[in-house]
Amino acid sequence: MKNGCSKIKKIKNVVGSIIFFAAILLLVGFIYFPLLWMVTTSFKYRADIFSLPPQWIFKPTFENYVWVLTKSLIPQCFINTMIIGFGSVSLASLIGIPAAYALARFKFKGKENFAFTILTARMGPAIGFMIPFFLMWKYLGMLDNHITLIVTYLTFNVPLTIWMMRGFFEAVPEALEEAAMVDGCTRFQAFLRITLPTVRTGIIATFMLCLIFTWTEFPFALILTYSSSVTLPVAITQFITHQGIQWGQMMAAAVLISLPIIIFAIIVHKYIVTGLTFGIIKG
Amino acid sequence: MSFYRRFHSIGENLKYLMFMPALIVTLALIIFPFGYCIFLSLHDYNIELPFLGMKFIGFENYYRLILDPRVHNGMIISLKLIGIALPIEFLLGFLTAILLHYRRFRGEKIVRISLILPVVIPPVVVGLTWKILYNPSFGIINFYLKRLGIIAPSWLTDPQWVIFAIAITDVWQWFPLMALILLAGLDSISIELIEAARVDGASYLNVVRYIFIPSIKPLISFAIILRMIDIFKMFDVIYVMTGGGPGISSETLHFYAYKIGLAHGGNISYASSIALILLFTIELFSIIILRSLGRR
Repeated sequence: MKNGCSKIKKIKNVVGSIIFFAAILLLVGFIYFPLLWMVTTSFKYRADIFSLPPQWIFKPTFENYVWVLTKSLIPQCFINTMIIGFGSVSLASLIGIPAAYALARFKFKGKENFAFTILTARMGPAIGFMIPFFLMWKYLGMLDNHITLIVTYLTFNVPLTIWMMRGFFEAVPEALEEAAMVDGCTRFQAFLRITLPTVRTGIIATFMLCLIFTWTEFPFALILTYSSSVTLPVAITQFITHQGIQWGQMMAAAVLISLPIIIFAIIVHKYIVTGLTFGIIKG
Repeated sequence: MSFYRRFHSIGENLKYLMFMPALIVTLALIIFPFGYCIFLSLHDYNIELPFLGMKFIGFENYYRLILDPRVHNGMIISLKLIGIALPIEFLLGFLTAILLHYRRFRGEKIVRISLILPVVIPPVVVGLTWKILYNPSFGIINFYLKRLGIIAPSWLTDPQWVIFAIAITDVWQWFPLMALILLAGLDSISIELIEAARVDGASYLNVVRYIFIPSIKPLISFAIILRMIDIFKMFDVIYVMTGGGPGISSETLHFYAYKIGLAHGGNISYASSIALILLFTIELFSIIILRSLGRR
């Protein structure tokens, strides 16, 4: 009797496991299916892209990648994106980290209003900033310039840095700094030598998150650049030509654009959700 | 006693010093553009016809906006997108969160990391990839739908289906974020509580209903409002997938403002008034979102 009961339980467990893993498989399949199609298309000859039924197994070619790397604007835009990304995020860290510390540690008037105001830059619609920025940079004669995008991207990089770092600073006990000051440090020295090294993981995570969002930013780059400082997301739309869309090359470019982002994202995967929710949700 | 005074008095000057650069950035890059937008919205200014100059016209842009059928169209399209995408996103996200929380398994970490991929891949790339999938002549979706005997629409060029096509893309890209937010909530519920309920004979469904949902309720509303805001201001995917077309059948308010102000038309002052309406709507939602989490 007892034996039979446990047998039923065992079968129930096995069935449960099968259903569970089937659901997981479905989930993973749904996530990877478009990505897989993007990657396979990038390795296909033109004829295979258009063939019906869709080719899951085909003779792979690097022709699209070779074309993208030698004949397109992608390599130049890659450099542009690197310069703009690292430039803007480094500047945002220099500006945002001390401000985040001030918000976390000191009392002052209008502190929360400030925190909320900077959040609007992340929440607000791009168009609300695209119009004034376009006119401002046009007036200064600085359209299509690396510096233009570096400064423009501070609009969302500084708020993100402040919101993320504030959380990290608040998690550091104030007693740590007090102890350093008892030992003769000034407050600023305590910040530099004690607090900053304590939150270095947070700094790296914030830096990489900002880099991801800068790398993928589209609307500002679209209106503020047209030739010499075009970034990758804008460059890829140029595969849509009047003669039609060059799918193979475009997907090769898509893979090349996404790859660094995916690597960054995997490194900081613990903080992605935190970053996307302005530090509100600790993933 | 004197130590504490020193600790805080040194802070007095330091705090302004540390705060100043961020304040300048905020004034120059957030407050000033915002003010400039208001200024523009009260004027008549066309960047393609600069010789006409800038004329003060008061609230005329706003009167025009209220009567503009394309503004209504844009509003309706945004609402439709939210109405279609958001429930599916929530349902999929919730089920995914529960599934991943249900038990530990080998490869769990890989699945969790996989969830962040759609979220971080450039939206432009996501839009273009789905554009291939939707292609009516060689796209894989229509091929398999036809094989199943379903008459497949030509997704992106059919005014009736284009909203669904964009909504599905949005679901694919963002249900993982919903799942991860809710999962963060579920992971913070104490295991003892769940086990105690199970020992007392509660079914898993009851655990979900009486423990999970009440404890992650604030996160649910947060995630839903966050997604609402993001769908409202969706830009990249629409730009590469349809450009607002066919006609104006996927032209959200945000995209309309871009089209009329910056892409063609050059009526930048009118576009500013639309941008401000959008901004205020979104602001309203953000206030709710922050209140709901008690961080003011």
